[in-house]
Amino acid sequence: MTNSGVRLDRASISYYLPTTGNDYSETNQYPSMFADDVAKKLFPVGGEVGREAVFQLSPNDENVSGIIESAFARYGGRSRYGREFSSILSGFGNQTAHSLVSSGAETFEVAPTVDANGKAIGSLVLRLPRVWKFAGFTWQTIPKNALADAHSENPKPVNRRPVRIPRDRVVHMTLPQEYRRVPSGLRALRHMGRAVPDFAIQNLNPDGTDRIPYDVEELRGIEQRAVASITQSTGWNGRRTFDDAVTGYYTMRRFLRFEEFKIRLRKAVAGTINRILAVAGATVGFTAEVSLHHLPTLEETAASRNDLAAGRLDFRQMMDQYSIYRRGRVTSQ
Amino acid sequence: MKAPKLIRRSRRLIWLAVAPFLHGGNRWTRKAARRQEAGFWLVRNSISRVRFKVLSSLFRRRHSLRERLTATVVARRILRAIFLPVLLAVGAVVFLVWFDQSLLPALLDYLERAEGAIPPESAWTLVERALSWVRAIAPGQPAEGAHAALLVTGAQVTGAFLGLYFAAISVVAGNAYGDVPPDLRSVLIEDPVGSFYLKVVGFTGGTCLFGLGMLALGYSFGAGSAVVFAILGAASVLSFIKLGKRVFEFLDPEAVTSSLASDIATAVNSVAGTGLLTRDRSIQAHHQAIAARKLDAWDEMVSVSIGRSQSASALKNIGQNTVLLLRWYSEAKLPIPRESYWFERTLEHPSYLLDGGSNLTSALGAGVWMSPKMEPDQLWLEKRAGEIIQRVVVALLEQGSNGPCVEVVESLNDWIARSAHQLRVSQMEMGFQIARRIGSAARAVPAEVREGTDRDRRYGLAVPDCLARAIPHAAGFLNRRLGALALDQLLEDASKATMDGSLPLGEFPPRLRANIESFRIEHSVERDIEGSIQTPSWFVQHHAARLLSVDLRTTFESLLNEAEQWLPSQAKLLREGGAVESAAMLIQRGLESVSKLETNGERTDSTLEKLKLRRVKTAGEEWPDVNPEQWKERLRVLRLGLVKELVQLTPLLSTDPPSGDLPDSFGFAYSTLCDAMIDALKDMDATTFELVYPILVPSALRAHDRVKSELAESPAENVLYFSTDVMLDVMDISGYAYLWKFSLGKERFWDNVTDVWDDLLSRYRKPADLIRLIAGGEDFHNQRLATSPRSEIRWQWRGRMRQPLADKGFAPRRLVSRTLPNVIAIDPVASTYLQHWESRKARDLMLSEYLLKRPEAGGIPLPRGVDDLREGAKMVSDNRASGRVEGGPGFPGASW
Repeated sequence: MTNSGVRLDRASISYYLPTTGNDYSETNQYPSMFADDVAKKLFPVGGEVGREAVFQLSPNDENVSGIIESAFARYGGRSRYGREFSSILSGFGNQTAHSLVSSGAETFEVAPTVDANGKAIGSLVLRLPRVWKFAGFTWQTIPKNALADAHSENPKPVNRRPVRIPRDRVVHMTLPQEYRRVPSGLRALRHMGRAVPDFAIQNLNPDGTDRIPYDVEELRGIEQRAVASITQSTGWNGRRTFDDAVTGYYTMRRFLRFEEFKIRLRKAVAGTINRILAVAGATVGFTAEVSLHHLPTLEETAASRNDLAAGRLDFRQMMDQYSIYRRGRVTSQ
Repeated sequence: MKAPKLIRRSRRLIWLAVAPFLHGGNRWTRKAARRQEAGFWLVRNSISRVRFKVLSSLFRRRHSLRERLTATVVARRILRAIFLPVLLAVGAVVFLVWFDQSLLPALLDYLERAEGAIPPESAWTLVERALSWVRAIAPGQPAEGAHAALLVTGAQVTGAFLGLYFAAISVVAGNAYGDVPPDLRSVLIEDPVGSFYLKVVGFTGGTCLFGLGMLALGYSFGAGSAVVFAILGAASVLSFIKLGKRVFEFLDPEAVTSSLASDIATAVNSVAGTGLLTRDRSIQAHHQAIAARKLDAWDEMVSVSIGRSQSASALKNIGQNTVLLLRWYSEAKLPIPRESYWFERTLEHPSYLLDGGSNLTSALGAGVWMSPKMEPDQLWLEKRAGEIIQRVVVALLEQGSNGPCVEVVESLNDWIARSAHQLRVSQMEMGFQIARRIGSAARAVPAEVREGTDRDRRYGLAVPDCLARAIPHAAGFLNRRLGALALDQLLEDASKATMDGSLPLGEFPPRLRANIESFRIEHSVERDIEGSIQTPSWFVQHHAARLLSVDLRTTFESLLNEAEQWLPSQAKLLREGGAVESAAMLIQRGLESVSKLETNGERTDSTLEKLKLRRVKTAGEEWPDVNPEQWKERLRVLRLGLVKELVQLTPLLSTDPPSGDLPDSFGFAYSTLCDAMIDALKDMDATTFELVYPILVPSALRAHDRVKSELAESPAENVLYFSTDVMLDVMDISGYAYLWKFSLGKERFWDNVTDVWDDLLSRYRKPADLIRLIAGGEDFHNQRLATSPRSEIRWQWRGRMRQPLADKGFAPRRLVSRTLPNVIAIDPVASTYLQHWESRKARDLMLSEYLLKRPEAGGIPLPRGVDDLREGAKMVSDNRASGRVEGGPGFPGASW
């Protein structure tokens, strides 16, 4: 409830999870690196490529644009050139991608904001972390240790009864079909990335007893193969984890594959935004769509693949071509 | 409370069995997860131990089998050696039996009958008699106690020969191996042939004693066993003849080194295969240790031989055996993987500035050194063998045995050259290092033996010569390789070898080979991840071409570096040490190296250009940077450095008439300096000209005197003709200097000529005589139609001098051309000369414009060429005075 009488009509429950101790058996290094790399390079921070907005609204209505900005406001920052709209949607895209590659699916509630008369004047897009579908409905579940308020000295526990979210407010998003197995693969990498295995610590035992001999090179080699094979479909390079174990050509092939993955993910994000806009538009009363501009396309990657196979492509040139921060980038859309 | 060890281990094993099923992902993530468990490594460790035990057992069996094979070979050799003597002995015994039992009674019987009437023998009687002879040699009833006697004798004989063999061994061990290190003594103890002999003799003695025991118990032997005992006894006796001699071979260092080489070869072959045993690290390390021990024994053999003043021939043979081992090993080691534990591990400390990462962080954090790595040393055997060669050669030098020393160094040169041919740069550099160390040692030893035999004198000079020959020899082999390099095929083969791990890599140069090995690993990763190789062959070929380029460039530059570092400095040190003849030889080899390297540089450059065509944009790696102009400049500087050294050396060289036993150093120096002058003129290099010319002129006078003394017995005309011939070289060079000033405007050359001659003539006791001699010699040469020894080289100089003149339009570009020069010479004399280029000689310019203009030249008749030149010059001057254009119509004297 706000002072001006405007309130958020949300069905889901907001809660806060206190910090718990870390599980040191899982480094989670590779999954978090992967999610970071996807999120940071999916949409440019600020939402612009060479001063051009990557998200464009159609039809371009300032009022609608304002409603959308408010709806996604919690996800985006400020643009250098005042293009809040694109900047906010880019922020939403990046954050969504970050969680999507780990979980495989995301659910949002499009909650209307209503004035004192109960009229919907806007919407807010809320991410629902723990949901499940049952009897044709989407239910929000509350974790055991959830608290009502993060900042209170004596926070109250939240009622853990599952909350049903109305069907017309829910938007689901999943990874594109060809990448559905990525999250489970990444989970298999959670234990990797340590400099030495846990048991190696006991090798430092000064009396020299109970030492366990192990082969660092073999450990490293197998881990390299594990990372490379799990991320084979996405083409991620594991932040050069296995660069010295593969040829330069193969590295470039994987680079292009990663670009293709990101292009497909961008499309999925744009599709999700449009579905959110459809839900919000039905409540507030507008019709609008967003489209992507000035970002690499699958046609470009296909051409690059051909150039690569013919040996015409330089690695640096390719990096520049697909850099989303490259100045003056102009692509045909 | 800590659980007992067994329980902990069981828990680990259970976890290890269950863990893979708890992990998602694919086989690689499961493998990786397993390796995070201590249990995995404990099980792996246990399996490794069992595997090691099995392999050790296999190894021992194979070793034992090999020993038996060796024994079989030894037995075959012994049998071959004793076969004839045994056959002869058996034959003799059979003959004696037959003689006693059949022939002698028959003869006596015949003689008795002959006293009466001898009836005619029928054929049947003769056959009957022959059959009776055969029956006579068949064994009859053995004599009482004969078997016992045979066995006793057999036991005694074997005992005696065992004693004899040990006595021989003791003599050798006492005399030659008494005070030697254990490694060397083991050669005698572990001799396989001796061990086999001991086994045979021991077996024979034991069998005889057992036989006696059987007789004592009441058993009896037949004819067959008597034959076996007799043969065993005879073999023990007869094979001692060969083996007894062999014992004394241990006094011969060459035989010992051959045996050691054979042991090392066995060790190398044991790790060069692809079998289970050769892949095991512990077995590889074991063979490496064996080879290292054998090399230690080899080294000790050298020390012992030097200490006992072994003959030069023995030392030479040790040296040559070592080089032979190196040559064989260079090829034999190719199939051994680079990471094999055959290659001795040496500590390699990382660079603090280049190798950072977690190693640097933890080192700084803990306040310790960055931990060094144990890296395989690919040249460990070569290094040790090199040290042995060096010691042998130095010992030979110290003995003054230059001939054997030269033979060893020649073998070494050959190895270096083969390394260059195979583009094995590190190996080649190792060879050069050995040669350089030998060179330093050779300087410390007086190489030029003044006293001693002719042979010593000859070879005394040959030592530094053949050391310096390593560079041109290697350059020649590299040139041959460049000529035979089938690039397309090689790159295609490299590409195939990356795909097919079973193809041998021995023929590839080292860098390329390492690259193929690394591609094989990368391809295996691609196969594991993608199911097939993704990298196309052009990518592989790009890298193969790049690394081949690096190999070629490095080999060439390594040779060039070696020539630069070694030749001028070594020549200087030899000169300063008084070994002037050796220094001259070294300079000659140096100049030969420069010529060969010039050709190599061009060929390397053109090959690298061809390889560059394989460059692909995508592959992207930095291509080796080559600057052929820089190579040329470095070679020019090197040549100049050698010439400068020769300038210093020439006055020190003897002008005694050469005997033919040794190279003509002074003649070489004088001719080379003349040639260098022509180069200096051609390159407009006045600095070099000024450096060499002052030495060249007195050298020409010395050359004249030497020819005179060489031809002291010849007619006076011949003496004049040949002795002035050498001086005409300098006159021609001086004439070109004149031309350079008055046509090309390069004054320094001619100014230097006049300065040198002014100085010389002012100091000369009778300058007029010298001028008369030169002028007379020139006139005499003009009159004689014969070709003098040096006229051909002067004719060749004329061709080389044409180029710079032609470039400026002072001479036609082709000999037959009659095109008028673009530029008219300034000086009438030079102009006259140039207009009659083919018929005139440059020395006429020197005679006309300097020598015969000197005040001392008054009254000396002008040679015909000079007269003509002056007349022509006068005509040109007159024409110019009368305003007629040179070369134009009505211009007398113009022939263009």
